[in-house]
Amino acid sequence: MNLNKFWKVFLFLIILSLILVSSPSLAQNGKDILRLSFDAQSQIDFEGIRKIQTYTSDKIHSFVAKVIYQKPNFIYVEYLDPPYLKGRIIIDNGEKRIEYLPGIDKKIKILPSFNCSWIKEKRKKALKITLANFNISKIPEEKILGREVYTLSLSPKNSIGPFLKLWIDKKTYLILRKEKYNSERELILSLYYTKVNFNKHFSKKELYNKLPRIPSISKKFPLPSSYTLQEIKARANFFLSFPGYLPPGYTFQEGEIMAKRKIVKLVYTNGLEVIVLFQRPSAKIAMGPHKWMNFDNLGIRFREGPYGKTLVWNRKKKTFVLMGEVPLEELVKIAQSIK
Amino acid sequence: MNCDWLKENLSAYVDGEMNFITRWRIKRHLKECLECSKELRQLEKIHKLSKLAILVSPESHFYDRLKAKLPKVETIEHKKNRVFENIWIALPQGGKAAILVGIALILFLSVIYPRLSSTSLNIDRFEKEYLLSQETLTCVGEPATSLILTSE
Amino acid sequence: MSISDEVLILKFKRGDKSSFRRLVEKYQSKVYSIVLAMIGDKNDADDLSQEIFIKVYKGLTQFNGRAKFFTWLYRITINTCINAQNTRKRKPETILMSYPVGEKENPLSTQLSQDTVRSPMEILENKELGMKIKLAIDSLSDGLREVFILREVEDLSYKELSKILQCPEGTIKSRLFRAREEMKKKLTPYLGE
Repeated sequence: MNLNKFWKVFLFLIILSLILVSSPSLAQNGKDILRLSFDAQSQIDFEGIRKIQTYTSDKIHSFVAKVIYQKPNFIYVEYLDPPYLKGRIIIDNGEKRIEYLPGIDKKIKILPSFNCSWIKEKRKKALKITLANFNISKIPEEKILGREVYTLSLSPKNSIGPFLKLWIDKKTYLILRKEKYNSERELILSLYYTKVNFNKHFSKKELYNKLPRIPSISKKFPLPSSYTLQEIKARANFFLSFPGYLPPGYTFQEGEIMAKRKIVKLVYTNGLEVIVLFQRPSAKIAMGPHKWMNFDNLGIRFREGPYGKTLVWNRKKKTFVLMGEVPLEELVKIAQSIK
Repeated sequence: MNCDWLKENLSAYVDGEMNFITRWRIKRHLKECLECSKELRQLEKIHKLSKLAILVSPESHFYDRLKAKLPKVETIEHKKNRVFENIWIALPQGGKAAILVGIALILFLSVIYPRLSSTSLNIDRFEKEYLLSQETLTCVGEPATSLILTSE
Repeated sequence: MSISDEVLILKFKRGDKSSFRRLVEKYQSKVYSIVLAMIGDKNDADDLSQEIFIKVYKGLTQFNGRAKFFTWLYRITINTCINAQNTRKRKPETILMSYPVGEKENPLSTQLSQDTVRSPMEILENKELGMKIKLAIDSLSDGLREVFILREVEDLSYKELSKILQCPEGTIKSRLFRAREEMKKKLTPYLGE
């Protein structure tokens, strides 16, 4: 080979590889982008107005909130609409999450932070399950609010949804838009920002001033204890029932014992959604408006809220509550399989 | 807002397909404009009269006639039901009363009595727990969805 | 407590055939009204309505999902009517026979007589008005007639209508506008003012 030609080819290859490395849209696949978006919100300074709309079979619910992220790990969410939610605030400082519900709850509730290490760990596990359960593909890119975004499509490898479309900011990896579709490809949730402002820094003190009083940082809050399947069986003080059927893709995530050991909560996930089964010794559960179904001597109360369906029934001196965002038939199948 | 635009959109207004602000503006215009409000009354009249003209009941025994044409499954189902019906009719009055009392007793013991003594809970609490799991245990959960439910 | 379509269908799929009866009873009047308004002949309308419910019965086990039942039902209804119109030529002379104006079973005449009618002269006018309305609906062009009828029977939203008739909401809006314009032209002398 002519030496001159060799150098030309070599130089070309070097330039090509440099282009590939410097251009993220060529170098990254869908999985990497999803991984990077996972805790993007804890690493940016951001303010936005977020709108979430959920579509149930007979209603559209819409929620508007002001969202502020400050790095590292600070989240502020304040609901603006609908009127009955207006003024509800969450401040999450990475250690704990403070909930304030004016008018309803004078007290301030304190829970573990969305970004605390052990919740993050669980969400990381869910990410793994998602990567295993869903095909993730990049679709042609668009611009959202003038910003370059990656557009990802997540479709389930099995028959149960949801299908998800994500628009992820190229610079910060923040999810700027999300659309969730059920297994019939009907839109059931859409999330988007109507305003965004990156690199805006806030005084956290001012945000805390929106609360009626600033909670003391040292205040302890009870940690919910989550258990594996074996642990929960051993720890519950009544005999537990488990579903014999789960929709494809769903696996056991964790169990929890609540309400002075009276209620056991079992959580199943496919990475993007959870199905939660509560059980306790027979109790009366007030439910508000609902429908009534009867299957093979199993009387079930049913209602559909903005984020999922709820089934309540009694069997063998126990009361069960089952919740999830899957087709009603699937939930009934799970309910019937619980022995 | 001008009359020409309104006339083209009045039909959608009658159907309630306008957003709040447009509705409000149209209402304001209608208060002032005799021509358009006459138009509106005419449309409403057409709507009302057409509804009355279209809605009719089918001839009687619609389902019974339909049933005869349906695939066989249902007639079998129906016969099954008849067996119980016939037994019930054949029972003497005393027998019927005994069965009803029995059913009431079973119902009371199995459904009502256990509930009298058991605890009463509100579903909101469970739904809040579910939403907390949805937001904290999934990989693209949104913080603060659970706030929409808490009522106590 | 009224049971929703969703639950009735689920029960039907699980073998409870009596829930089909409840579905039929819930929708028979509306389906029949749509068919009669589309076809014009009473006997044909009865046969076609039955044919529609047989189709529903056969298809119900495959019916799946969040799509509302009535959207599916009305789509079958409209398609069946359109097919019927294509296969048999309509007989204009039977149109008048199909609505025996003034008889008790016509809700228009009963409603009007309860509401407004005072003198024999007025009865005559209302009879005439009822007939004029039906003729006006009947003379709407094909694309306009079905959307107008569906809207009047069930007060469906444009979104639901667009799902049933499988066309954009904008088309629904403009068709309803045109249909009402046509109706208005034909009925002006009867609308007062």
